[in-house]
Amino acid sequence: MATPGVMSMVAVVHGIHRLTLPLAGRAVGGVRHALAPVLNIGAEAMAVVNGIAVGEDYVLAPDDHLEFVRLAGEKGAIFAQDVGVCPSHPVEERIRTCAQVKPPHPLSTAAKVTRWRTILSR
Amino acid sequence: MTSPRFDVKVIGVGGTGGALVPFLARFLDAHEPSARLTLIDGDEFEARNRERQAVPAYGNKATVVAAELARACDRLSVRAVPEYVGEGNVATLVEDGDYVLLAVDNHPTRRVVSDHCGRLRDVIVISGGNDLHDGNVQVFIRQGGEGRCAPLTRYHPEIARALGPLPGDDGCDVQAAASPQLLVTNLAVASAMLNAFYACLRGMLAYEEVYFDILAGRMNPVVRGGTRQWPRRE
Repeated sequence: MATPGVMSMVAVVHGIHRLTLPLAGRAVGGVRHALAPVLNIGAEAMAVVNGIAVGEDYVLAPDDHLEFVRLAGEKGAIFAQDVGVCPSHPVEERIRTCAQVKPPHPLSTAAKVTRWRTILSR
Repeated sequence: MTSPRFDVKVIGVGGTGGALVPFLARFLDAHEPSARLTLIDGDEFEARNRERQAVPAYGNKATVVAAELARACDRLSVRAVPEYVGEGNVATLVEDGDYVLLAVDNHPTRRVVSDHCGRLRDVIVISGGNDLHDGNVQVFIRQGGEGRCAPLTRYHPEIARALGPLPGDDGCDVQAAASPQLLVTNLAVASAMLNAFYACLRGMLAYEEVYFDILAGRMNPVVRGGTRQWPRRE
């Protein structure tokens, strides 16, 4: 017999992160807002429940599998192009600069840009 | 008894593709010698490539690396196509029955290949990409005219909407020059692509996409449409 606690669980995935939490009955938008600082979920991450894209008002059911799809890797270009690291500098210097401003947790691309622009503008 | 002949096509022989193909060729030569390996890339080796890639000689990347692999692999057929993949040639370069390892560094090419493969009956596309320390590998499978794993574009609007210049077009060289990458991250995505290729070949693929981060030391496989394993094509 299933216990009430187990019945309300929802799997949440974002990139390398995977959590199982008692989120049944909550809307996707609320979950995104609550978990964004923990899993670094960006506003651009598509919400997918059991393989189907859903809106922010979708209410989660027990045993749902919710994924906030992390943007696909492209080539590290975001570091150089969007934070303004000079392409004429030696590549090791560019990598070192990017690594120094790399936040401790992997962020979504949009969040990376915002964070790094802020850091580099200081 | 050997398996029927099949084509494995690697699109992009740069940081990731260049790391992937020596091991892919060695594996195919030993275990799938009836396969044919095709390297596709319109780019040329330059001095700056040496920080992340073996540069056996200067010249077209696909041509130079294919020649190296042909010398090292006795039984495997290896050929080069010194072209970038674009709207105009994708139909002739990627065909029904292919295994495609997509090791490019831009979303517009991923979109072009994914859209084309969506019109094929049987094809497996394994696409890898990375940022500085993290990345992902997507697997797109069509079998018998049906989608078994989602196209690269379905859950990634950043690929679906990637309408920018393709490699070889004006403007792309500037982007490449401005993008720092790490050899170690290229190796991680190349390894994850080979994992997916082996799993597909043996009918044991149990995920549709996998994310990794070399600093966190984590990989996370994702299943969106089910947990079936994909049968090997005969």
